[in-house]
Amino acid sequence: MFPKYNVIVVGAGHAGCEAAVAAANMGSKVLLVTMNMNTIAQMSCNPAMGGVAKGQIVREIDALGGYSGIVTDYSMVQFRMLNMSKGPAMWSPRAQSDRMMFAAKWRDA
Amino acid sequence: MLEGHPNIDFWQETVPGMIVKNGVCTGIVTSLGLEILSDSVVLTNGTFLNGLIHIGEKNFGGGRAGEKSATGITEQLLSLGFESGRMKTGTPPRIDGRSLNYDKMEIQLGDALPGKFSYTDTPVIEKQLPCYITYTSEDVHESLREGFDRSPMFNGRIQGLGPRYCPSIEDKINRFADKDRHQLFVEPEGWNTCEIYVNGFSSSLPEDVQYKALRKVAGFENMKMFRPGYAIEYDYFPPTQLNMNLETKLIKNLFFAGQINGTTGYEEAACQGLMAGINAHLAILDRDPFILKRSEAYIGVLIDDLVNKGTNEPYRMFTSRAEYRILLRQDNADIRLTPIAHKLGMQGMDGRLERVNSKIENASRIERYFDDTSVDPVLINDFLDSVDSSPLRQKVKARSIVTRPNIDIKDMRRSLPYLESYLSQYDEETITIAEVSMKYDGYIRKEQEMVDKMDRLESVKLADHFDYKTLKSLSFEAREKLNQIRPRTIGQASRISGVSPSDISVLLVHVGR
Repeated sequence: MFPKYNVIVVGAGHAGCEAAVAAANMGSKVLLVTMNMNTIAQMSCNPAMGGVAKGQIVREIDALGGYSGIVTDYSMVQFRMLNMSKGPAMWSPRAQSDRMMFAAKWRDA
Repeated sequence: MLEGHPNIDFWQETVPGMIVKNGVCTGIVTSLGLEILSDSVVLTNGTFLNGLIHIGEKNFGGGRAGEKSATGITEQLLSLGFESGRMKTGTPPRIDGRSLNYDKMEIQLGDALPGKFSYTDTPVIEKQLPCYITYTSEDVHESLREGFDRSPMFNGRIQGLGPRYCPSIEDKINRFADKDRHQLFVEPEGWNTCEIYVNGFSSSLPEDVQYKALRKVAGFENMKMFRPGYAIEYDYFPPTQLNMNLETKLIKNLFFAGQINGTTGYEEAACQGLMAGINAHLAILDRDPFILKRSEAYIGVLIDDLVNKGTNEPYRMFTSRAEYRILLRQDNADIRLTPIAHKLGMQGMDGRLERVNSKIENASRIERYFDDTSVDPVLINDFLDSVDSSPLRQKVKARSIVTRPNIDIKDMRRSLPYLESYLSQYDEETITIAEVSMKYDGYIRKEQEMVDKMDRLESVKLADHFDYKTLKSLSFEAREKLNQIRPRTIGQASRISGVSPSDISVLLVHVGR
């Protein structure tokens, strides 16, 4: 029923989704296994991405070819650059996202 | 995204275990008993492994509100020799935005000129939703305290350690008893829903206690609840059991990413997923693992901390965890990392690398312009006066103005028409890079020198299979830890807790330095 895959990813939260696209964009054949296709890329806690230090991480993910930044850009309802009164090492982007759009954008065909 | 990718297939089922033969992972077994084969497996189970949800005195198995937990994987990993632990996290109630009185709260608007996350050509948000800020009070705290005897946090039912920097409201009023109020952020869940996320009010108190207390918050007098907050306990695997590429030390071709490694946060999870996905691919081809240095990325800091220091409470990222903060900025992540991804062979990076290269080139052009262009006192003194910066007596180079405190390029452009017309050919991103580079030149150079010094230690490789027990001049703890973590370099060894500077000297002598 299944071909042999290069990479199987178990779980389709933020880690699982990024793992699947990263392996796939490197050229692997990937199977993403989830308990529930309807809850792929849930923001199960706060409807926001980024914040101090975390915003830097999202920018890094984007720079390496991950999708979290792109998905956030398409689903945000508010954007703030935190710590603008401090030096540039502390500038941190943060966005409120539409939780449902975020998940839908991740699944997008 | 996912469904648009020709290399990604989907399957919906619970996975109770992996296929492991002779210390190598070769696929998974599903709950229907299907065996699906693969070269490598990445586990990203989040809070689902033996997840247990607590609301007051009630608790039930679950991986998330309304979803069942997953069993089998922990048990199999333990039988393979892994060590596991329990962690706890929590989430606040979701409430009905139609029942709130926003007049009693402070409004929090988005930026007037909003930015975005991606370096690709994603859209910039045009219309934004506001958030609101309100506060708890003594009255609210009193209500919450009444439920403490029914709190799973305080009666010992929850054993897992929770995130220190994202504590529940009951934790906050207990630990910071002298504070008479705590800030709450009232955050919309989306464009087309009235659902509200009450940031700052994470709780596992009984639902009636949460409800009663919330109704005493300013603006929440008529609040209706959609679902109560809850705490969840789940299994994690101390990340010292991983190699730097997020592959487990015990089982080849098995990778872990996210909360299973003891982290908290979407961003922390997502970046580990990315790194595990890349490394799972590289491992198949026997290519070198992809490891980011602490001086290259927060992602490097995060994985280095996890693998070498471990964590017994949910790990979240802070700027204070990074020693090279001025290098690891949000504005230069593409300059730092896109060339690396391109070289690695990540798809779709050709155009992006070109963009990065032209950004670097343009930024240095701007810097040269500031070095070469003079500023006339007549044009700029009014502006300098308005920001309390001492006026010019004679012409100076533009760079010496931009490096003054309290002055930025944006303001200078307004006073100097020729500067405005020169800069108008560049985008904001590029101008920011040039400005930061000029303003923080000294700090950037100093940090870079520190990095170069550390790099010398990072380049001294340690043998893969050396038995540190035989090196008696090491402290006993160092021998144990080095055998456990198996650092790849002297630099990595120096960050292992329990490995002292004198142990590092011993190692340097041992490798012949």
